[in-house]
Amino acid sequence: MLNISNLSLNYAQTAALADVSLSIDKGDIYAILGPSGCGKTSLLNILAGSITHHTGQVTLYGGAIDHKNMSVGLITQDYGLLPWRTAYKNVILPLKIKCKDIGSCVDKIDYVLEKLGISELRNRYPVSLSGGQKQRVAIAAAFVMDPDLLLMDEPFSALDQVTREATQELFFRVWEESCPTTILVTHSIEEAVFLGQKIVVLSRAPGRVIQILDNPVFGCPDARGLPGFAAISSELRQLLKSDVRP
Amino acid sequence: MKKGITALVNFSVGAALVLAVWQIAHLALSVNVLPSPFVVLRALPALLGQDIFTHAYHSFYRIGMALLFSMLIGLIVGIAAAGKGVFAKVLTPFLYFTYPIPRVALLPAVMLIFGLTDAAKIIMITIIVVYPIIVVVRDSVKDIPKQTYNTLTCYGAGRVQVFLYITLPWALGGILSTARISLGTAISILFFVEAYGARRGMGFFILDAWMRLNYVQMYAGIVVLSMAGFALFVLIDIIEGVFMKWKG
Repeated sequence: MLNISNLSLNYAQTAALADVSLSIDKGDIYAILGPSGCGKTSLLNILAGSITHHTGQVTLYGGAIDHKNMSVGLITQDYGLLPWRTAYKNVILPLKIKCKDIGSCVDKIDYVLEKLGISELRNRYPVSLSGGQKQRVAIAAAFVMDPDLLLMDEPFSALDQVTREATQELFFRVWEESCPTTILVTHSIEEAVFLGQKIVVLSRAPGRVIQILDNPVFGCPDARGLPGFAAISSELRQLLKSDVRP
Repeated sequence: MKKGITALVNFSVGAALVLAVWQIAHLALSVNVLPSPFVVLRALPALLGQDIFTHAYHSFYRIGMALLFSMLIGLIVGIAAAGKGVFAKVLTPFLYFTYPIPRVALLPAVMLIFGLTDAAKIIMITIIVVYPIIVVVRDSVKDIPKQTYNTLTCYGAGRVQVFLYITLPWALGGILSTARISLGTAISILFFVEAYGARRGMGFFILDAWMRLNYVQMYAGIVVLSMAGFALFVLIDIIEGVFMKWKG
């Protein structure tokens, strides 16, 4: 279980996050939705361990997040791939860093690559891959390590509409096999509704939790076509609009 | 295969153009200090008797060692200068202050301190070549996107792993991108340092021929030095082909 309590963050004179508290059960996927600059990426960076000057508490399974001994996956908008490593070497990078024996993980790696349709691309360098392909490599890297916590920062926003929807669906199919506890940060209402089991709406900066919604269409086949999808999207839009200052 | 043919065609066209310009200059100037390239090329086989390999070997050795030291020092100092530590804070003003100094003018000092040795020549080339390498390495390491570090931090990478997986490959990429310029500079300086207190080396060979007014041999020496430089350029191309495939 991931517990975030009274989390606040300040940059010099400005407050980025104010008193954010969340409690996420194991195997849940939370979408955090908010306007640009509301501190949602900062929240993710705190969980990723790259921001440490926050106040408040973050615990995973009762203790502080220990990135060395726990598996925390990160999928970002710019893919986070190392350009001089082939797709395959990027996928196994988290395992290498964890000093895991690659030989014993081959089946898992092959399965994830196959599932994401990138088996044929394993020897290609990122420079020769399309945005959608790079994103699938990044997703594969996150899943081969069987993450205790998966963090996603606007992961599909650099992709065109068609590729984005296809990659989101592919991601969801891989995700639901192992259901790692996941936090997805996004500014896209549509993405939050498609992938979020619960949707956390953050206010404008400094980000604070306005509301946490249960998503009735989460996990439904062809969710995008359901009336509930449009209804919750509209509710979220209203919530975000109500927070806009003139 | 196709790449090899393209390289061969490029080489042939380049060589033909150089010979053509040279021949035109020879005909236009019509002076004995600029012999026809064909006379010079005919004289090349005779150089084999002149110990040309020993001279070329010494030059190769000096360039090779100087480049090796430059890259090693450039890598270490460049990476350190890109950091946030005390070393970087001290080094940045030092680099800024010493960069504009015409370092080639330090030749007499280096020779006085280290004598007429190979070491003095290698140090001299290194002093000149190492600066641009330091700057390129420092800038390339500074340009590493922060997000790249974030991903590895999230995976739980320690400082050594971050260095091995991100900083070092990035810095090596920077070094390779400057290798051609470094080599060109090294060859120019080599010629200069071999003009003093050397009995071996292509620089000495060319200057010696010049002093003896043997212009054909002088140009033949220049051709051999150029060919050696060309061979090193090809070597850099091959190294790039192997290690920089990821640049596409």
